[in-house]
Parts: sequence; C-alpha cells; structure tokens
Amino acid sequence: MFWENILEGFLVLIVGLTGVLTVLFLFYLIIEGVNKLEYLLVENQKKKAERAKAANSIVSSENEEDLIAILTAAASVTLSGKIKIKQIRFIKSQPVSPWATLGRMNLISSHNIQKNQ
Amino acid sequence: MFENLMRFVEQMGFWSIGFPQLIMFAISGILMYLAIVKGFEPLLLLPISFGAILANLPNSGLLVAPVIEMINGEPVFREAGGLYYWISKGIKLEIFPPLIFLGIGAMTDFGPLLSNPKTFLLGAAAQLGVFAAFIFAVALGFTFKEAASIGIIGGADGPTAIYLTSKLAPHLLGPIAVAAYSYMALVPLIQPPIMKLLTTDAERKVVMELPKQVSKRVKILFPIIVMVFSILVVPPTAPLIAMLMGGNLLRESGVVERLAKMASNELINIVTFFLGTAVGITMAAESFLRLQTIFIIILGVIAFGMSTVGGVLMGKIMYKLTGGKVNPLIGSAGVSAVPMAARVSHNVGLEYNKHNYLLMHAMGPNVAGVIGSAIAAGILLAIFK
Repeated sequence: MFWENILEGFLVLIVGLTGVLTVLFLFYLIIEGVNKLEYLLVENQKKKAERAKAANSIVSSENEEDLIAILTAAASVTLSGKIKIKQIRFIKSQPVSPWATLGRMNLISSHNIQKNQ
Repeated sequence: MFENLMRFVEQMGFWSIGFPQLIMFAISGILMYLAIVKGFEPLLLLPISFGAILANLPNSGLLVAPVIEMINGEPVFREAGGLYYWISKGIKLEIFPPLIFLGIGAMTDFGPLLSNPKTFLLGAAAQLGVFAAFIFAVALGFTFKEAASIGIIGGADGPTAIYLTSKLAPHLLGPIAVAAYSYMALVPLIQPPIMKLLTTDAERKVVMELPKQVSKRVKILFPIIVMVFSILVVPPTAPLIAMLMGGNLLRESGVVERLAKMASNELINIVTFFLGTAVGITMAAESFLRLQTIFIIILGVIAFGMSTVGGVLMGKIMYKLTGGKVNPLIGSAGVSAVPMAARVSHNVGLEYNKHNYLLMHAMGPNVAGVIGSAIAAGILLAIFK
C-alpha cells in the first residue's frame, strides 16, 4: 500500500509538473509570438511613416523646380532681357491663426488706399 | 439573584481554559511577535495570530452555527450564528482568495515577464516543490487530498494555498496557512544557501541584457490571453486566474483607474483582514496541536527548498542554452513570494558582482510563479476534487 501510494505520488509529480511546464511554455510561445507581431507592426508603421516622408520630399522638390521655372519665366518677361537667377529663397509659410488674420485685416482696412486714376 | 450571579460566573471562559489553550496563546504570541517586531508578512500573520487567540477563547460563540427552523416551509432563524461562522464563509465559498488575487492582479506589473517571456519556464520549474512535498506528505501517511494541500505551500502563494486547502483539506487550513506565510517571510533565509550550492561563481556573475520595453497593446492583451488559455486548459483554476487577470486588465487598460485603485487598495485591505482572521480562527487547540502540524511545518520547508532547487536548475539549463546570457540566480524567484524572492535573487547577485542589478530580471520569473502556482493548484484540483 505504501509503495503504491508513493508510485501514485510520482505519477502526480510527473503529470503535474509536466502540466505546469506545458501551460507556461504555451504562454511563452504565445507571448513571444505576440511580441514578434507587435515588433512587425511597429516596424511596418515606421516604414510607412518613412515612405510617406520620402514621398512628401519628392513632391516638394518637384514643386520647387516648377516654382523656379515659373519665377524665372516671369522675371525674364518682366525685365524683357537675358537674366540670370542667382538665388531663390523659400520662406516657409507658418500656420496663421485666425486672430492674426483678423488683426491684419483690421490694420489693412484702417488705411485709406486711393486708386490711381 | 444569587443563582443568576452564579450562572454569570459559570459562563466565564476562565474555567474552560486548559493547557492546550495556553499553548495556543503562546503560539499566537510568537506569531504576533514575528509579525510586529520582525516584520514577517505582517499583513497576514498579524490577523492570523489575532484570529488564533479568538479561536481559543472559550464560550465566545464566534463560530456557532445558526439555528434555523422550518416553519410552514419557510426557514426562520432562531439563533443568528456567530460572527466568524459567517465571515468564514468567505473562505468556504471560495470568495476571499480570488478577491485577493483581483487586488494582486491590479498591483502586478507583468512587464518584466513580457519583455523576457522565457522566464515563464522558471516560474514553471519552481513548482517542483509543490509536487515533491506532495510525495513526502504521502510517505508520511497523509491522504492524497491532504498531501496536495501541503504541497501547495511550495507555490509560496498564500491565497492559492488557502484556496486549495479549503477545497481539499479544510481541517488543515490553519497549519498550512501559517506555514505558507511564515516561510514566505523566511525566503531570505531559506533560499540563499540553496542558490549558492547549485550555482558556480561564473554563473552568479552573469550580467543580463537590459529588458526591452513592452507596448501597452501587449500588456492589455496579456491578461486576456492568459485567462482564456488557462481556463481552457485547466478549468478548475478559473476563479484564481480570472480574478488575477481581471485585476491586471483594470490596471493595464488605463481607463478605469478608480476600479484599479479600489482593487489594489480598499478591497484587498478589507479582504486581507477577514481572510487572515478567518484562517486564524480555525486554529483551535484541538485541531492545531497535533503531530500533523509539526509534519506540515517540516514539509513546508521541504516544499520551499525543492521549489528553489527547481527554479535554479531551470536557470542553469537556460544559462547553458543561451550561451551564458541568463543568470541562474533569477530562477529562485520563480517560487512566487512576490517581491521577496526577486529581492533575494538580486541581493545574492550583488554579493558576487556589485554592479549587477538582477531585480527587474528576477521579477519576470517571480510573477510567472504566481501564474504557475495557480496552474499547479488547478491541476491538483482537477486530479483530486
């Protein structure tokens, strides 16, 4: 009876410990998988953001070339001669607050501007 | 008038106090001393020792069952029953331990475990003591159910030990709870010699890589995944795991701060007092002063020791498999006993390398141990209930 009980005890040890190890190993695999997915997701988002940034810079450089051509054409027509553009400086437009816009409109409308006859 | 006076004097408890009760008062006094002066798990040992004094005060009527009569098919209370008859229902009806787990879940940061999920295996291996102590208990003549309740002391998780014992061997609740909480407090004395014995100098000096950051999304998904899979694989573990993970979800979701605060403060504090005193009140002299109690105390040390062995050995295996990237000392933290066991790993590591901060690494197996002991309890319940 004693040895039977001990034998059964060993069986419980094997079943129990294997059970705990299996369940926690399963959690390890799942969490490892979730971590990998999360990593891929973050990397994907980063790549998307980088791609969007690169696309924006291409668009803006294309826009800049168009703008330079337009400005050069306008200057050559106005000055009616051979001209050489030495430098073009772009001033980034800042977001304008509606309060500032309203203030400027008030300032402009306060001046008495006469049309040339 | 004289007769009434005599009856009043006769009802006094003094006449019923015998030598066993005096021994129990002494034991309660020692437990109180350990809790108050030495700071050994005071949150539980103090209420337990207080309850133990109450249990041995004769004629208190605290545990008296209510007297109910059926009149016209309706139950009518003739006697309401003692206060602790009702409070003890919190254990018998499996309410208190899961509620404690709700609070623990709301307090626990599983981040270190999620950043290094390999440490799940350390928490699993550290359950060796549960099953080893089970065999020793069987060898000493305990029944399988009693042996399972004694073995769970090795899980170093008080609420789990109380939960399993209340289901399998409620008559052993007092000694098992006392052994579990006393040894949890004695982890800094029990573990270091075993850890040093099983590891080499080179292993103890291993400096581990900094843990990775874990995203909020993973932290929110974790309690849901663990709850679903644990309950699907080991259904009897449902009350403990559901509450543990529910509490953690409250914490990690970040949208119910009030509920998380309630679970980790007010609720757990109230339940801890009632759980402790309800366990203590089972420590009446006639049920506690037995040879079985001494065996349980001895088996408790074996359980703790073997759990430490299991964790450290798994740590050594991981050290070999990772080419020396894992410090085996963190394996001992797999015995649960949060956060004491993790602190022990850290302190032993510091003895050999003053710049080695193992605490965060040890917290991984430490919280994995909480899940591991709940799973172990679920498996024992599935086998023996």
